[in-house]
Amino acid sequence: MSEEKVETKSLIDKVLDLDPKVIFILLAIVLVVPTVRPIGFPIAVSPYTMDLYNYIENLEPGSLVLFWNNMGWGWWPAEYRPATIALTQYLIDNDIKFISVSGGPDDPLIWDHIVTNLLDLKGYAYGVDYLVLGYLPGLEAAKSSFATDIHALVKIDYMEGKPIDQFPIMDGVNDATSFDLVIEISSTPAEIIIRQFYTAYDTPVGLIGSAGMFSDFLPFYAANQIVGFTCGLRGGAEYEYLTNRPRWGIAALDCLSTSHILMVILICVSNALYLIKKWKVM
Amino acid sequence: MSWIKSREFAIGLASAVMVYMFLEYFFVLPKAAADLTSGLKNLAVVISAFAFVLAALNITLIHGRRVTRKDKGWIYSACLLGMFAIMLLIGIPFGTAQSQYMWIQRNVYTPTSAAVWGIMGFYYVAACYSVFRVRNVDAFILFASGLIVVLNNAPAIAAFWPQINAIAGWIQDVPGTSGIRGCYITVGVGLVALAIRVMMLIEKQFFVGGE
Amino acid sequence: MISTELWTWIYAFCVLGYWSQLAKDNPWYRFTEHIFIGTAAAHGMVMSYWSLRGMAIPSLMAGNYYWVLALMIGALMLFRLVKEYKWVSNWPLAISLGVGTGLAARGAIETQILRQITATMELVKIASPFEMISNAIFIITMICTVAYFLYTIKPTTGLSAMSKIGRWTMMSAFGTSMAWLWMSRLNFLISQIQVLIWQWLGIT
Repeated sequence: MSEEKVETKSLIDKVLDLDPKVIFILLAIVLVVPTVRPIGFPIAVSPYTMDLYNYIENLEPGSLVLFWNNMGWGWWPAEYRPATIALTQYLIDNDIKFISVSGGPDDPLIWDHIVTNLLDLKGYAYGVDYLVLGYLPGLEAAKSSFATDIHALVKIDYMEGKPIDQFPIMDGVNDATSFDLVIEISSTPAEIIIRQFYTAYDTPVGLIGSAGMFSDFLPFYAANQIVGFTCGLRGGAEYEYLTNRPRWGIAALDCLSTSHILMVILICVSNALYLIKKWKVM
Repeated sequence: MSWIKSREFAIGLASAVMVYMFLEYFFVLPKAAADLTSGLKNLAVVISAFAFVLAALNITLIHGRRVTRKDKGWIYSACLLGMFAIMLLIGIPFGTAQSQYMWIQRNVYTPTSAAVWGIMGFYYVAACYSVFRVRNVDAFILFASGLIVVLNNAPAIAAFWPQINAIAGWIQDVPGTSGIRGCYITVGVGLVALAIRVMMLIEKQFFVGGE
Repeated sequence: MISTELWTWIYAFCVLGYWSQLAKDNPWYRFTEHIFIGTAAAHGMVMSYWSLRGMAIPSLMAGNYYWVLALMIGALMLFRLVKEYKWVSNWPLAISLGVGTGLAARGAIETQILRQITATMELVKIASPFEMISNAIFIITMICTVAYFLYTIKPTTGLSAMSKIGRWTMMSAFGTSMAWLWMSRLNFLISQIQVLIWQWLGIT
């Protein structure tokens, strides 16, 4: 009878081949614990968020801001809610008017929810101080068409279904040049709105993006093609901190810290063991 | 008339529209041209809306076939079609502001949509451990810059080690930005090259062949 | 205290159902996944309908009959579902491609090429020593990154070296991008766990 060779895994191999479910459980623990028992780590504000905040702070009362949205219900609470609410509330607090138009099918409903439930409107009147326009499909074509001639594309608003000409806020608002700032809240490529608003009409552009868009925004920020930007939950927390309205972003910072620390530990342990194994083989 | 069914006709049409879009941007054209441009852009918006409708109908056809043939997992397809029908029956006649529609959006669509992306958090962290190994110089650079930015993104670490802000900031602003900027310039050139390919009737991959 | 609201329980059911996939594929996960697809598809269709209605009907009532033609051309897209007449869908696709590529390419020349190159050249300036060194590194690495994509030129020693530096620069950029992408996915997790713990389980 031949001898059966039983291969035993070394401890290093066992740790390197760790079942992913163990990591899932570790991650769940480091997220649940600070949610139940917050710690309260401080936050440093990045220059990108600071520049966006400073630009808006220098807008005159009565200025008009356009929000171009493509958020989605799934991304809204995690990536966009903190910064959007903090920024919009800041506009209201400083008598700056805004119009919202949606590039995604979910966004008119999100803005309905925002203005109905999440903002302190402080006497802001619909159609006079703010307006929610509907959904415009087609990424670049919609932006270009809107920037060229708003009334040729958009006929009625979303909330009341009335012709937009009837609303006082739309008096004299015809194209991209009518806005003092355009803020895009989305994860679509930033170059689209920059091409159609900033390059074509010199309208200043700011961005609220998901965290994954950070690197994509950097070249435009460095080239002064955007006034500033915030990204994700962390950017939202920074904006909440600047506007002194701590809410969802600030509440999530502890979980961000613990989850990132776990990632660093996992990466370092895995690479250290891998290098030790390689050295042993050599 | 078989030429009208061909891909070449479609690419010729795309080319003509694109040449026009270039001409109206770089040259001063008569006022009627502005109306044509506006019309074309609005037409593109309408076509995008119908593309959404097409996607939705395609999904219902696929799952409808699964239900009628009673293929494996047909009961789930039936649930999908049921949900589809409920949303359509409320949304199209009564509008999206209807409370029942908003209720389904916020309590069914939102959590599942967020869960789809949230589950990636678990997989990404597991992938950090099992896949992200430093095997060569390129991987080491990826590892080092990624690790420093991850450390900076954790507010707790920045609270104890404030210098990480400056280090991560430099990595983001210098090699990070220069690398992405180089990619953007290349992408921009590629976009112009695609436009030229469309103009020269070479780019056919988007269109289905006719008889 | 644990929530007694129906919507919170449905919310938790959907989230945990999808996440149950982490243990293994199961009917709960499948059901949640299919519900999501059905809701998303229907919502896209509903919003497209109301969007088209909002654009077309006021225009038609004002006598702008161009929108009849626009709706007819847009509807040709649906022929993609009919095997014998699939080719009809090429026409609206062609118009959309022409408009989209035209808009993108004409704007890309200034936005993504000229402005980016100009901004890089503006870094050639007198500043603090650290800033000048950083700017020099920026300019050199950016040129090397563009050199990496020169596939049609025979690689000489100099070009190979530039390509290597360009590749390393992109690795650094992708490392940064990757770190922020990880944060993005963790953000979704964090917000869902907050809802589950604070609103569903009532632990605050």
